[in-house]
Amino acid sequence: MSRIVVVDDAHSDRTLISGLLSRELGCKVQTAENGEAALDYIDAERPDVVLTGLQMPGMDGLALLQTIKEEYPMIPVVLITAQGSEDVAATAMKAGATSYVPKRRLAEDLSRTVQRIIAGTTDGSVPPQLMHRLEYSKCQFVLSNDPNQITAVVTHLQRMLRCLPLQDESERIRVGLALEAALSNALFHGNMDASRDQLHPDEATRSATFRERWNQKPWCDRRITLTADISRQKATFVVKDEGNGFDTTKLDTSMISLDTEGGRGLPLMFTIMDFVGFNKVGNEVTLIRNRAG
Amino acid sequence: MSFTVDWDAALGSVNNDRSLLKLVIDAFLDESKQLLERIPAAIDTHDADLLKRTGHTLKGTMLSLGAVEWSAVARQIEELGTTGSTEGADALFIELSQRMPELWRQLKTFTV
Repeated sequence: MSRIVVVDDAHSDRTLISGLLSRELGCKVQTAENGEAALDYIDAERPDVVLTGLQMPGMDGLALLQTIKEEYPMIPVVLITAQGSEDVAATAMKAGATSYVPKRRLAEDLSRTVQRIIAGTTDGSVPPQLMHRLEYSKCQFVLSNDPNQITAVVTHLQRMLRCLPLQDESERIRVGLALEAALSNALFHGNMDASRDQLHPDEATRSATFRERWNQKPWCDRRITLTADISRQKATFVVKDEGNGFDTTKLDTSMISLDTEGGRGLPLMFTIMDFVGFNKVGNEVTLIRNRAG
Repeated sequence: MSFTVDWDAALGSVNNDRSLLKLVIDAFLDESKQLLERIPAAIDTHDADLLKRTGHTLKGTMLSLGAVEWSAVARQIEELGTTGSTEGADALFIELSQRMPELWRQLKTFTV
């Protein structure tokens, strides 16, 4: 059974978050009202994931994250962000938070995000040590418009990322989440021609909405091509869809923030990767992550 | 103008799990009076940071509970604290403290 720590100074928020997780994932949840109390538990129990709010009296979420990155780097930290705390949330993502969930989207995104991270930490039939011996790998996948294929290919590549010296284990999961965000954008915004307004935050509802389109031309013939080039120096991912692209001149990267009104795809890519670039048409994105140091 | 809890939003925030919503409401009923009391304390000590954090916490939980109109007042308190000032917080505190009993009353109807 997975063990999760929820850190928030508000009793009602702790109740909400722990209730959603224990009911939907069946995991064991411990709550703490500030960073100091959380660290006592983390030190004793080494949980699988820590979820934390940002604004708290005493040790706040950012300080807690920094301590965990220094002392328990294997433990992924997920931020619970709220309107009005986007700047500190962006700082925390840059400082190594694995992902974030806006408070207004807890019901839709929390369990899926945590489940995805736990799956990333417990991947595998291939012994992790073997991937530490990998020197270089280049591969290409051509995916149909199936979210399950995205999950599978990201899990596979995340294993191979063990060969790339990153800051710590949770960085590997972060890179996987950024790649997954790029592939989801390629599927829904690219191949399915979905506008942001048409995308329901819940994946199941979203998939149901577009199921009809998956069987109709031209959407059903479109594919996603993913090229992964992983070495001990860097990982390069090129994700290309067969949609109409978008006007890349309108993409102002300085305006990309963890704004709770927007999607999480671009913020995840831009905060986790060292380079994010689109082709002129806007149907291909290149993501690069260099080795640590 | 009377404020009304948006129960669809409240149930949506717990994925329609009524027993979880009851727990969250109980927690809010338990802590919101203490949070409210922090606002005059912050005003008296000119503690803008406490004002900001208290407004922030109230706003977030109120939104989860579908108390959208109340959360707008809490947001104004948070925004005032963000400016580093407590000037003008008295009026917002009076408005919120006058509105809160109605929120508690509406929330309690769900828990009985």
